[in-house]
Amino acid sequence: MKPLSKKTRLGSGIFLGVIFVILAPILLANSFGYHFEKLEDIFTLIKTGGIYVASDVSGIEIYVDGEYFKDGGLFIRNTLVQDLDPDETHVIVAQKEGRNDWRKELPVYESLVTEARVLMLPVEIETIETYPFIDELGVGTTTATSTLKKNTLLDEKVLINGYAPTNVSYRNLVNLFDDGEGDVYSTTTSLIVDELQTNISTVNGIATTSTSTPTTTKEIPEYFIDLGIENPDDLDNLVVFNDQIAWLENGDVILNWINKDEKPVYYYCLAFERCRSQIILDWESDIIRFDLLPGRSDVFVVLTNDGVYAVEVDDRSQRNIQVIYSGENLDFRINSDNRIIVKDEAIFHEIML
Amino acid sequence: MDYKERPYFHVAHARDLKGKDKIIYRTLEIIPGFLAWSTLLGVIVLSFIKPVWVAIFIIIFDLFWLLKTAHLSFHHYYNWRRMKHNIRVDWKEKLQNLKYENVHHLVLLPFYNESEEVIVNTIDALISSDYDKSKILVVLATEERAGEDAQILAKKLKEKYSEQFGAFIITTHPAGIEGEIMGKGPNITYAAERARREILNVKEIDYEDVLVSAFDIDTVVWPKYFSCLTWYFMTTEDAQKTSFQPVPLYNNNLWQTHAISRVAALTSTFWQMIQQERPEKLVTFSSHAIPFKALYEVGYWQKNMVSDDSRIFWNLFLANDGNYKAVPISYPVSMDANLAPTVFKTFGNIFRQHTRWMWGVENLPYMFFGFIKNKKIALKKKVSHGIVQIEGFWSLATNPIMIMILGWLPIIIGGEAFRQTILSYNLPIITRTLMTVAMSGLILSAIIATTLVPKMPVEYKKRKRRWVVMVLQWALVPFTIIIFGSLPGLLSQTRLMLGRYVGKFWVTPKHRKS
Repeated sequence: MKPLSKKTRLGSGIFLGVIFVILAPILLANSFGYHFEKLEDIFTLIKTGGIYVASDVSGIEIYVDGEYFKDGGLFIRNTLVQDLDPDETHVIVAQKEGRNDWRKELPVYESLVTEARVLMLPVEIETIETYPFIDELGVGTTTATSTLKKNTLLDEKVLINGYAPTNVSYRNLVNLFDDGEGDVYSTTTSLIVDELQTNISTVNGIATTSTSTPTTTKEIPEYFIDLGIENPDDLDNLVVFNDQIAWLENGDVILNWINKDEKPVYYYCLAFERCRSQIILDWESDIIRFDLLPGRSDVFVVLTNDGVYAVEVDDRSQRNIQVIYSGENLDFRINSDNRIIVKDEAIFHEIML
Repeated sequence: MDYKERPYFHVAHARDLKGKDKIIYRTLEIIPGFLAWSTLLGVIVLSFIKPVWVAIFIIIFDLFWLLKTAHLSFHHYYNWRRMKHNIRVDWKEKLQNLKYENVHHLVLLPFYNESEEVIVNTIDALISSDYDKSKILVVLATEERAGEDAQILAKKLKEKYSEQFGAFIITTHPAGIEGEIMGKGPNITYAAERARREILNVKEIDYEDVLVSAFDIDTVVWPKYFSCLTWYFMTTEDAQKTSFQPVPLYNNNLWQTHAISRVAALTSTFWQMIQQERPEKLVTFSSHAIPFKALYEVGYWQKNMVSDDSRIFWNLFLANDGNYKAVPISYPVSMDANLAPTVFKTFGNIFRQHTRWMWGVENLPYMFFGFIKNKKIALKKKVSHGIVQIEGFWSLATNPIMIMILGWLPIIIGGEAFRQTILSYNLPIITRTLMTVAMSGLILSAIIATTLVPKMPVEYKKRKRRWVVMVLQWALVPFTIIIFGSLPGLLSQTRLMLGRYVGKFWVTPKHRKS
């Protein structure tokens, strides 16, 4: 058997070289967003743009301008929609059974990619309830057993029908919702006649500590000064995250980009290179409280008079708003496990997203 | 004056020269490292300031890499078929029509402190070969610095084997000779000269009838190696100006060693198989054969540098004014894959062995310097060899790093403006797709590898699982080509660039599990 002849090797080299010469410009043109389109019976090379749909949900179906585009599959989460006509808006819809639809109308520019991120919460959101009392069968309940004594020394909001909650988890959640008043149970549990002998650590006596705060000059970060805020402590519900700050003002959320050296994230930009530094999240009724949806910096959890909602910050087209929990007189917090806890009357609901 | 008579013929590094020659040689030493680092740093810097350029370069380069992989896989597949064919051929029968009776094979076995088992395997394989053993002349080349135990073992082996060959001598290379490095080159040069005086001259064997097989101590010849080699020697045009290169098959202990070691070893074998089908790019490597006369005329292997196996080719090429070649014989010799008592030692040994191989870059300045000095070599040959060699070392050190790591840089450091372009989004998609297709070549590698694996020892349990691992191990290639390819290559080129020459031949320990 003879070695590979020079002729054969040359033939292989030329064949692959021809493939290279053909494929290289096609690949490059494609990667720059060019594609052929038949215009007036003539194939013309036109520049297109794209939309990048980021998702934390797998297996979503994407529709572009009403036409099915692709199924994300079992593992694929993000989708790049290419070859879109530039200088127009395109409607992207993401769907998945059991989840809220997501719809966005976005502008597309030549050779550029418009970013978006879906918000697709489950339609039926599971919750885990935490009750103030646990009966003899280990079932949570809002009714105290008769063996407990009423305790009038505790704050009314801590007591359920005059009884101090006996469920340890419940007490922790009461502390979570107790803004600025310290740890309710760590200073007062000794007053509770805990006949069920739950394993709560107690401290004897009522804590009557008086602390003298040393006078210090608090340095206000420059971004507050830039925004004309003299005293950040006056801001209601202040949240600082990822080069952004947000607070509550007259029932609206005011969101600001504070990094002067970096271009704002995509949802601040209404057009290419035309970006704002402030987004206002207003509502028909007043927003009572807000926080970031766990794992997201572009979605707020918002509390209003009639429920808790997830609301996109992105207002380039109509915001997607999805219900987390419906009801009146609610409150919510994010716990240390990054879970949303909704308080509805005497029961805490852990939202399982 | 013949080129081999010139004072710089056996130069090791720039420090051996003076004046203008030293400046030229030093400049040539800097070039490989400079090219590699310029490429890598260039990609990094341009990713900052011109990410679009880098993205275009990467896409084109990835496509080039894919097609190059296809081209090389074609060579690899063909050589695998040819090697299997050559293993089947009855070379003795083919020799019947040739006057080969006078051809002697001088086998040099450089021995440091390896175990008796390793040497016995090697010598037993020589005995098992189908060639007339009276025409096989064995030199067990020991080192004085290896100590008394090595000498005792050598004598024991001589007693056992001396009657089986045309000659069997032990040479002891003296320790501490000025101007020599501690390594294989000085030992086999000493051994070859002693063999000339004590065997060839005594037996009055014509130097032109002797082929020297310069082996490692773990080189196990396949049964038809000498008859195959003889056939090539007898039928190659201008055979006295030709080296002969078998396929170094690192498979002696393949079942004993670890997956990473196997992949690294077989990758080296595969590269040599590809080179077998590209003879114009072939340079002697590891175990090889050279006509004694040509070897004698250039003073054997250089004693002052590490990568003597490839340097001897360039010595001969320059001494013969470019009229010297390496012919691939596509017949295997088996050698050990790296194996040490522990996994980490094995990995360390692979890295050190590959770094020593990559130190072959020291031959690049020697070759270019020779091209400048020897005006008798045809310009076409100089250009052809120059491009092949420099591209080989450059691509080995840089390409895997560029493809596996730096290809993503424009996206990471290219800035927000670039990140918003459709090019930035397409770059990882195209790179990933092209690389996935290129990696499908690994399927071919896995198939070929399974045919080169020796029989699994009968005492091994979980046999199916071992075979599965033997196939799946090829998924490690992206890591091994960077860790045991690019990094040692870059390290060696950097050392040469900085003038930090390797002064000692690191002997790969030959360990066998009992």
